[in-house]
Amino acid sequence: MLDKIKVGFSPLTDCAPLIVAKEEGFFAQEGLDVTLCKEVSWANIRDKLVYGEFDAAHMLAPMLIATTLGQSGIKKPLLTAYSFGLNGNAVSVSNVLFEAMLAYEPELIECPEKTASVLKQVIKVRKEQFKAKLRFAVVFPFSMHYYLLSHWLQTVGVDINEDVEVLVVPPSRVVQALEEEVIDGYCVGEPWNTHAVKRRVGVTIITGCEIWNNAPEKVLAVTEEWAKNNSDIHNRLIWALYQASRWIDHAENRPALISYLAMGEYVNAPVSSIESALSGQVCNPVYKTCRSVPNFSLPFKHQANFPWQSHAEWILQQMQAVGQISGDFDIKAVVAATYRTDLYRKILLAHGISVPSVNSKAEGEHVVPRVNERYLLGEDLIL
Amino acid sequence: MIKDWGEFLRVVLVDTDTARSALLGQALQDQGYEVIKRLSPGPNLLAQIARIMPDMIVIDTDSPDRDMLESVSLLNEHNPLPVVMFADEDNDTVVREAIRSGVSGYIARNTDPERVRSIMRVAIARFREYQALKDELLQTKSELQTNKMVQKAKKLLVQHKNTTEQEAHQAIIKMSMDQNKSLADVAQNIISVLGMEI
Repeated sequence: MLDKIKVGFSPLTDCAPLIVAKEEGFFAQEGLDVTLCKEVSWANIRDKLVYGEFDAAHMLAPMLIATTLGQSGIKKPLLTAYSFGLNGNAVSVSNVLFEAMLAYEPELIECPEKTASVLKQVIKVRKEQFKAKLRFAVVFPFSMHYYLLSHWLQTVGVDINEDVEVLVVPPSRVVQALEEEVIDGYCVGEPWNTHAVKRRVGVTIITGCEIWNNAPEKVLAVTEEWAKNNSDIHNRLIWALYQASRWIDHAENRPALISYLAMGEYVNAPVSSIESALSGQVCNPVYKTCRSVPNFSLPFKHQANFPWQSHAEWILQQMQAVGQISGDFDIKAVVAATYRTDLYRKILLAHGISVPSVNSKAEGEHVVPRVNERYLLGEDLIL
Repeated sequence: MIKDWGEFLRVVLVDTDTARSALLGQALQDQGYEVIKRLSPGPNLLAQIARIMPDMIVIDTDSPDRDMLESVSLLNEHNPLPVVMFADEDNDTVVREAIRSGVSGYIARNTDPERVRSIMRVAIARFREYQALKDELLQTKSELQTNKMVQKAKKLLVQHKNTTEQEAHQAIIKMSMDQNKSLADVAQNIISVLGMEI
């Protein structure tokens, strides 16, 4: 007799472990009959998880924290013991904005590290000419996309609240919004950067991993209450997802993975867009260049599935930096309640997998991968 | 600002399914709402809503634009509006639970018209509560900011003018009264003059 559960997901390439666990039978092996429910909006995923329609969900890491804090309408304690992977986002701008930026740096496409300071010049000139603020889209206010964009701008002293305008546009609509000149740029996950480039409506100027290498992105969210009452199912769910993530990391499984993701009931994007997203190539057909970004998205290696508490801490600091939360509160307590390294550790150790013994790691210090306690950790440089 | 209950509320409906939105539009109208426009979702939705300036929005939960509408108040302090979700019956648990927990803002497809009215009413009440909380937060934030600036200005006066902290504090209050400026403005002036010399 299989245990029936429902899991909500957003059709993006990083939901792959859910699809693979279902299609390759990892859920079934664990005695789980999982119904995957595709959702078009993050608010829907949050509501359905909070109100018990879903048992678990593919969720923006900051949304889990915001919901626990009661920052987005509903307050409900959520937790995660599994990360869907690292990185995967990028910033793309319209062709018009890119042209304006090229005036300051003709080789811009090759130097992502200069993009923020060049953008600052454009913003300054627009201000002097009394032109409207540049408009950037993110997928949700509580998202890594928003914080990465904010941090990237802040490195050159551009204030996300003052100097640009930010609005929310759902991922599936950003390319159209760019084309219709509703926005000048966006920070979004794949395949929507590649897609804009392929349609020649925009240019990808910097990837998320070039802003913060090996940054968190989506997590498996459950309510604290559900985790308490269904700990056995939760354990099996995470073990199945871990096996799926490991499967994804094997290069020989790539063609099968792409065909699963492209399916109508899952991501439903053209095979070619998904391919580029997974291969770590940031291309530009107009300028005939491709830049290899090997860490563009990491589903498994470098302990990508471990729910690092240092990730949650950075997210909370960003929430404060952009003014979403204020006042004195105990960041450490929120982090410990939401990012359950203890659960992840217990589940993986039971299957003989070695896991980090620490809950947090250094962020923003390492330029190259390093070995820590016998496991390899990725770079963690923050711009 | 939202009008008081009892006035004619102007509602915008966002739905791709025109037959369904026509039905809901009728139900809302029967309950005394004025459905001023039925919009199709898309990137220009915000601009259209900004032009129409409705009192509230009812949107189909199957529309990805829900995230956009829900976030309007969270970014850039745009003019926020109460948003009510219109859900299909397969989301019945969510609708029931949402209403039970007082979050509301959800209407199921088969909700009878009388219920529609009370759901809309609760949604507006909740929205107002939330706005009031947010305004209070902004107020506290700016008070904190003023406090910080006055402290900094005081410290600069003590360092540069060789006064006691007490004297510095009184000097700032006196300047504020004499110049008819807010404490924050006076502190800012002191910081920009004395802070530069370092």
